[in-house]
Amino acid sequence: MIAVALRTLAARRTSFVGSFVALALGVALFATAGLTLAAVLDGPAEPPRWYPHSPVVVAGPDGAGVTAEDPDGPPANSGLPPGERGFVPADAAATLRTLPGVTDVVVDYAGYAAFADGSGKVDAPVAAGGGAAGGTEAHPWAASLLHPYRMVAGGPPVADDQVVLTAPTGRRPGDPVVVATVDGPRRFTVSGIVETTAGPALYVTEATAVRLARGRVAAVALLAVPDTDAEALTGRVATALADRHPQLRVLTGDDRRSAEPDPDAGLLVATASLVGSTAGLAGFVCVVVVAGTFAFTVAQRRREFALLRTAGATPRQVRRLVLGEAALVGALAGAAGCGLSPVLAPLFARWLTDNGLAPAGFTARTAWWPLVVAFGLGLLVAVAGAGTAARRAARVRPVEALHAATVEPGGSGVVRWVCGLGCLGGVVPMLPFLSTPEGAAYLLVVVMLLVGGCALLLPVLVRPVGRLLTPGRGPIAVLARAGVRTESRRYASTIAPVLVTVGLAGGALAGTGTISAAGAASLRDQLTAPLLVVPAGAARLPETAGPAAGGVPGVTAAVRAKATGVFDAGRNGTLRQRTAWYVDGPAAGRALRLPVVDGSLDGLAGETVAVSARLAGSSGWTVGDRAELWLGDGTRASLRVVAVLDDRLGLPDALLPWSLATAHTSVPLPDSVYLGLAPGADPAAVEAAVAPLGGTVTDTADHLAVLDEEFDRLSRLSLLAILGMALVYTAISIANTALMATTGRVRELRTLRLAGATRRQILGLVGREAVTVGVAGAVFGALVTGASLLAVRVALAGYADTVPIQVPWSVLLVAVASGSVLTCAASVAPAAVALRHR
Amino acid sequence: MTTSEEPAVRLRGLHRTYGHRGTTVRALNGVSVDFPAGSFTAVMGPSGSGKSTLLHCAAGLDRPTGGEVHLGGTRLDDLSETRLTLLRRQRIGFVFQQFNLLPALTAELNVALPLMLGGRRPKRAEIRVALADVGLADRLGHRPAELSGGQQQRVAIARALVTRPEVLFADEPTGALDSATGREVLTLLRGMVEERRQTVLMVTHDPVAAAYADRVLFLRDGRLAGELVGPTPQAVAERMTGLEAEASGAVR
Ligand SMILES: Nc1ncnc2c1ncn2[C@@H]1O[C@H](COP(=O)(O)OP(=O)(O)OP(=O)(O)O)[C@@H](O)[C@H]1O
Ligand SMILES: [Mg+2]
Repeated sequence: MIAVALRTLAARRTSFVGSFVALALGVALFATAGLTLAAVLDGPAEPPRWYPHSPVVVAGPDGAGVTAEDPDGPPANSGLPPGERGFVPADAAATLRTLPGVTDVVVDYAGYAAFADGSGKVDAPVAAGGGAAGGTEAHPWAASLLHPYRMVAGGPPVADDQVVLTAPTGRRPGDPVVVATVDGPRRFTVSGIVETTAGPALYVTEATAVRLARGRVAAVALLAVPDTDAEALTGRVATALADRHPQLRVLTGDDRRSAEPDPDAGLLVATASLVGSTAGLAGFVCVVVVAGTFAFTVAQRRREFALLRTAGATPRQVRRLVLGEAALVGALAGAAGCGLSPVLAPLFARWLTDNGLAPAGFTARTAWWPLVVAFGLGLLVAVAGAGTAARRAARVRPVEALHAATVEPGGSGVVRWVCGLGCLGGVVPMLPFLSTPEGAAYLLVVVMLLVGGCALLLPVLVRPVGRLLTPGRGPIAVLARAGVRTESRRYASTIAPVLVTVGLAGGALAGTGTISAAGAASLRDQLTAPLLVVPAGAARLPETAGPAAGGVPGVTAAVRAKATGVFDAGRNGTLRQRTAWYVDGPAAGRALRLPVVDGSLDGLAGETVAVSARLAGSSGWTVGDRAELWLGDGTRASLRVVAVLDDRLGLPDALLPWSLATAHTSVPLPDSVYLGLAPGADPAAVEAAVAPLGGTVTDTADHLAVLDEEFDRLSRLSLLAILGMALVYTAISIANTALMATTGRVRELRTLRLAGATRRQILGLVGREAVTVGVAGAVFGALVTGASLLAVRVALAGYADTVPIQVPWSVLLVAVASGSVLTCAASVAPAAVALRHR
Repeated sequence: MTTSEEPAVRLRGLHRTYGHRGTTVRALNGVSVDFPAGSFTAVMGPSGSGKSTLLHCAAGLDRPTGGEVHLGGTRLDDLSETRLTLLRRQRIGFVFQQFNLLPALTAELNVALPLMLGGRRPKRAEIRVALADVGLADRLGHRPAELSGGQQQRVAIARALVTRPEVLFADEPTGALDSATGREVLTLLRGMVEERRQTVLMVTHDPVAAAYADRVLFLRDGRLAGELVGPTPQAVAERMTGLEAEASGAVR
């Protein structure tokens, strides 16, 4: 049997090469995304920079759920919101100090401190080294023990207004500097300059560090006698903390790095979800294309199988032959694809960093599990795709098979219908997720379901649609129409990649475009404030910017707002992250349109919360209830619900009073201050009031336009990252299948030639059929796009006043045109070559 | 038609209807006949009379919608697809009008195929002998496309006979051949019957070909319409003319 397979392989070069290419590229695509994802998830495994001298570091929790009161807390579905960190209770240090082997502990505070000049602009050297804008922190001088440093000028801070800067800096000891802090811009005097590998930081006295950090301990670093066994010490520390502080992390080795502020952490989370989408989509197109291609090659060989059957092969032998071949090709091509991906992944990672979609310095490393998964997926899909087709081919009786080889059976499996309709129907349960902040990711799922369902139903849909697409009375039209009828499966196979290309591009772009347009429009509807105060430079606004602006005559409300995340306990026992804003509660209604459906925002102060109808509904809360929420620092809070708000795009699921920010967010500073103005109020007066605090007044519409532009730029890039490689792959597979299809019917075309058709007529027929394929693919792709838009519209209807439909005409046009051109070229060229030889 | 010896093939009340959605074609409409071992029978009849269908059903390539098929002592019509295939492989040879060789395989491999499918590693000598028997000892390495029609048909016969089947079925084996080549093939079949007591059942349109057989069965509209023992081309041609006239009369 193997001998038979090997002999026939030579005669089926094109289909062999075709399926090899489809699978190898599919596996390469999926493995590339997988390797990149693995690199994101593993994070940069780098040694600690701030804590190298401390063998064991105790840090706050990096997730919500486990708390001191609830050591077996529920697991959270994500880490803390970007930019947030958990803290170490002050009494933990005392416990740790007394442990055997511990010589000393350094209680490390990390308060927000952007090194700023008078206008609020961050000084260039520090900003450059500090990564994210204004992300530098003020630490107590004692923390300098934790890493190597060299005092290059001056000395340690002794007075509370003294500061030690890290080199390189243009300042000299004795120079005055202004530092943006939680208290607003503060004047310090440089006492010394250190050179250190620990990264840029400001060292201040203990008292100042405590005040700037609002007394919250970022980490407790243990100092031990030399040659202490870090593992053993870690065990003792964990035991000592287990009772009262189970939420704390005891870190050693490279893990200590995770206790250090990572300015790229937020970006890395975004990168992870982006690359996750890329991998999901890559897996999807790999499955669709590979299964389709393998099923097609088997369907093309029906006649060969019929001959084998008449020669005495049992159905089982035919199936085994097909499966064996598929497994062989699958293994070879999978290996080739896996070999290709370590070359592609670093290029993809590089592209991500170059475009700001991943932190600088992010690289893809070669890990084994994505390769194993990709290889296994490719093999499985190849065998499954070939296997189902082989079952069909082997089941028929030999004589029938010989007949069926010329005219394909029309009946379509129940399984196909069930799966196809199941995919399409699967869109419905996805709809509620489209209005969540992760809507764009769920939209991809919706588009994939639509494309997958359509692809499954194609063999059934092809006949009626094909009839419509082949009008005319000429001999070519008649032949083309007959072809659609009798060879619907060949048509389905060649149309599928066009459908996938057009449908994915159209559906994803139109859907995300519409979602973000609806979000932007809705946000404009909610922000009634005509003006807002934003940072003038890279340093953040101080808390005092709110009262300062509010004190200006004519300002009716100055609402500080900071975006963060909270967690609530979902039904399945895990914590789910929700969007939340800290706001100046009672005044909020005067600068924002907050659609209160129950209760009132007047009471939004102290231990209270206002929640969206969606969150209230899923948790069963009504006004007056106690809401169990986990805040940005991972601690649990029981907050009284004072109001329930209608669900609106652009508004968060929870509004928290500003007073909670101080205790539960690592940088308790507003993103912006929304202003409510009485008629005749003077923006210049507000500007004058906030300028000394590093703020500036801006028009809300202008501000949103800038934000939208940046958002659109990023989302375009993100879509390119998610779809780019997958679309290149499906485009290749368009040409690939068209090529295989034409090569597989050279005999038929030669028969036509013998029947009196000229070469021109035959090429005309092939071209005509290719156009039919292209147009049909475009039609189905357009249907997917339309259905995606409909899904978005239905899903968002209750969450925004208007859902402005965005159709990416230019992209659709390019996708349709390139799909048609590829099909035509790849169909006509091999036919022309084949007909020239005879 | 009872003989003391078990017939090689016994058909009883064979029915085969084709079609769905209203239009049904009765290709076979109650055929009962025995084919004794070692006999050479020709089946004739107008086009569409059900000859191929009869052969396919008798050879287990197709299933009758009613009636029984016995090969030796084995009943075929209720076997599972796999059992049927195994039985066909071991006990039945079939030659098609269109040869139905695998285009990718050489003559040698095409002939070896049934043995290989049976899980056997055929000996080269065995295949050589099978091809030499049909006069193609020098064409082992040729693919079907490199052989003439008559040569291809002889490869197909060698393939059908390589398993030493009890019965050889041939559906218009000379239909695609010129008369000289056709005669070679027929002589070959006659030789098999004489030398090996090979049972042969052959469909043909050609009275000259039919005259090579011991007996000719006539089919019309899926029913037996007579037989001729010890046929001559003239006698067969006369009967056929009569049948075709009746058939066309019935249709018009
Ligand atoms: N797969 C099929 N589906 C439907 N009808 C069929 C099928 N195969 C054969 N028939 C019909 O059954 C009848 C008998 O066909 P069969 O092929 O047995 O005729 P035949 O005697 O071999 O004719 P010929 O001499 O032309 O080969 C014909 O009317 C034919 O149309
Ligand atoms: Mg026939």
